[in-house]
Amino acid sequence: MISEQDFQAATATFERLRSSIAEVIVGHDAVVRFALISLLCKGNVLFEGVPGLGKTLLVRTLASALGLKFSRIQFTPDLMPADIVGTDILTEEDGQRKFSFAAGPVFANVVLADEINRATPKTQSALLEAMAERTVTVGAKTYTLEEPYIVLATQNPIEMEGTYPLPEAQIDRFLLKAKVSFPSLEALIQITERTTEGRGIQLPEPTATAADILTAREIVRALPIAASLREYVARLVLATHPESEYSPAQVKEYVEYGGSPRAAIALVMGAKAHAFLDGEVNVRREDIEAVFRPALTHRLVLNFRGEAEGISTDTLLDEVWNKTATT
Amino acid sequence: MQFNFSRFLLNIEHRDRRFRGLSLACRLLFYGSLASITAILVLRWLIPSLNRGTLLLAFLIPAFLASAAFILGWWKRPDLPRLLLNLDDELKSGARISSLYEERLRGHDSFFRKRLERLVEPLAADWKRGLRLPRHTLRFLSAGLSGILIAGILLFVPLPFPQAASMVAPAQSETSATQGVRSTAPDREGSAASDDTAVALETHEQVPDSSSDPSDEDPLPLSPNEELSLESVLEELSSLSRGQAQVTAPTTSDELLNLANVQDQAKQALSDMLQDLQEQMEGSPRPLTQEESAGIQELAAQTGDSSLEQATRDLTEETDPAEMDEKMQDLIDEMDPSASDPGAVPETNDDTEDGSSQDAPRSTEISGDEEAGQKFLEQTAQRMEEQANAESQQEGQTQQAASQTDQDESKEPGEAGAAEARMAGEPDDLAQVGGEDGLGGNPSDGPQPGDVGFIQEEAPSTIGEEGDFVDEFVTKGVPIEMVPLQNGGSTRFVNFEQMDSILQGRDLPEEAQASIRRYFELITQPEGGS
Repeated sequence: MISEQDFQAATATFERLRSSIAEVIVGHDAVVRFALISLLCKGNVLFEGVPGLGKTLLVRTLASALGLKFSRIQFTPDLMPADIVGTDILTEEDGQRKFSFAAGPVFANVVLADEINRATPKTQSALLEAMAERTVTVGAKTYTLEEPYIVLATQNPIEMEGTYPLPEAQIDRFLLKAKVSFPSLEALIQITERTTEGRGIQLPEPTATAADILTAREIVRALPIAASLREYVARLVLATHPESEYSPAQVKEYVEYGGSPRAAIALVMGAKAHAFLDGEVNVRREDIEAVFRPALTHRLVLNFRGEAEGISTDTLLDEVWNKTATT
Repeated sequence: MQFNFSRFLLNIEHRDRRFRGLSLACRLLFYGSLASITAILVLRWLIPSLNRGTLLLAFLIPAFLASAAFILGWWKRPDLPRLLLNLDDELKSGARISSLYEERLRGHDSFFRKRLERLVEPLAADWKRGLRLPRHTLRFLSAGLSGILIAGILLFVPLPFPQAASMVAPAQSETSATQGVRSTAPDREGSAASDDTAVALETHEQVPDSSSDPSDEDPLPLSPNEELSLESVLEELSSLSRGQAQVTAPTTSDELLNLANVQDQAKQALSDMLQDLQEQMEGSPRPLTQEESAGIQELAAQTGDSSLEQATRDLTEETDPAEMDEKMQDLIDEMDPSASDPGAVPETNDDTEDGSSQDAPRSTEISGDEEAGQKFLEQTAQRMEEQANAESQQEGQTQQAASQTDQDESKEPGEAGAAEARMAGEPDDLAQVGGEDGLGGNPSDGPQPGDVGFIQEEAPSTIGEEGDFVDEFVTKGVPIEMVPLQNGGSTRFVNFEQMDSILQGRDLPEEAQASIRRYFELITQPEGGS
């Protein structure tokens, strides 16, 4: 049974966490929030942005603030699945040789999959099981990953040569996709100041434990949401499907596939986590709105016409939101 | 006092149902008022004699619809989760009410529920501002009330189309009967006197001439076997009486005065016009232009004086300037002798050669002098009496020659007497028998200068062996029988025995039956004229 003290403690913990990250990461409050939402929802997050925006630093800071085990995988075209999940190696112990499992970097609490779209689809798919089921199967043996577990991937949207777009099955496993935008003038000044003076960037001390995060996850799951808001979420997701009666004309014209049921789950859970981070005890319409685009933007698959005309998924989602909000 | 969420929900639900009922009711009130206005207009147009009760029903359409809509709106239970979310949105409460409702529905006794109850409690004090009557409801209400007001006004005010309506209704139900009754128009067209009268009436009174309806020009023959209800026959008869009295002839002394006044004004205008032309032509003689000729003839037509019309026609056809001048002078002198002698006093006695020329100056005097007006009326009646006597004598001679019997001689005094009575001061009787059509005048007589507004027409047929028969006065349902004549032809007569049985078979008051019987006796018996 969740008590008021539990709720207060959990919200206070995440407020501290957010503050400590903000001391390192400048101008990316929304991105940090999405990372925390994914953590609370037992999800993964995909950061998209040009190089040098601090995506990797953000993930390292988050891991440091949480006091969790962190690992980083730099995806390259020649990276093999075994390089990620690990492999059985022949070892000699007490004069006997046997195969033992050498765990890959995926065995951590916070995994940074840097430039994930540079690896081949086969290697990318090696993360699928870890991201969805929190398990890794090597050979005949399945290993359970330690909770809390989160994969934070980054990808570069402009340098497409030699990259492999993520397969739909994998991209659907990311709870949110957050766009890391270029920092503002003030943020840029602060960044240069923090990185070029004094001792440089200092990663924060841990402000939360794994247990705190697991408790917070329970609270988030228990957060009430009105039935009419659930229905609203379902209508929103259905509206991204071109064949749906709820979808606006633009979706019917430019979208090949809409959001999956995971999208609806992501919306509800994301909204709950968003409300929790705001210290609310119930989901509001604005919580749904806050996570609507990050939860659906990577789940819309444009058709040929949409691709040819350069239609943005954000534009389509705006249309869906506006049309569904009024019904 | 502890916050009672269940009662809070109940209040919300009741308010919503009330407002939904009101909203629907106001909407239907508006549409119903439109329907009511339309229904009242259409009913009053098509059925002018419709009783007020039926119109009241049409007036009550919006009330019925609004009541039913309110009950329907109240009866339907609202979708509570959606209603609560809307209320949350209006109150900007962050979906707290609907979340609390959800928690209670699931029976959760969690920290969240308690916290939500604490948060919702302050909202309960001011929740009504989140559930208001929609603005469009007030618009519909005001529009609906305005519509009802208009419908109420339409219920009582006289509408501008009763004449048209009275033509539409019979046309739908009793076409042949109506047309048979109104078949005086073609005959009237053949008469110059009737044209003059009609022109004068249109000029002076602008009375709508229902007889000019093209549908009236081709009366359907009345089949003896056709029968309509007696009520419709009565209605037709009454409308016929009204219509004839209004259109065909002046029947009161006021109308006679007005008509005489119009004719006098036309004469005066013609005289002035001729004098002007005469002055213009003194210096430079020329023939009359087409416009001048048309103007002269139009004014002459309005005088109702056939001799004057003939004289003006001669004048307009004249090409010799000298002759024209002479004719103009003659005309001016004829219309206004004082014009050639400015010092002469207007005469008040019948000492002029032509009766028609006496009318104009007298009418002028009458209009300003009551005594002279009475005198004028008496003189007019006297002239008409003389004329009617002459007509009946002539008619009697004609029929005598045709049938070789002496019966017509006994009819003359009665017929003349009836004409005298109608002309001298019984306009209502005249209207009852169909105005001047009942006179049965000789067409060869033509309009006389003294015939102020009376039309003499040939009776279209005869009834029996003596009486004149006028198809116009016999409507459907009147028992008519065809009887062969000795000379090989046939005639028709009304079977009074059969009529009696018809009248007695209907649930009519005694007075109505007597009136109907008297009417047909009047128009068919030889003494009463046709």
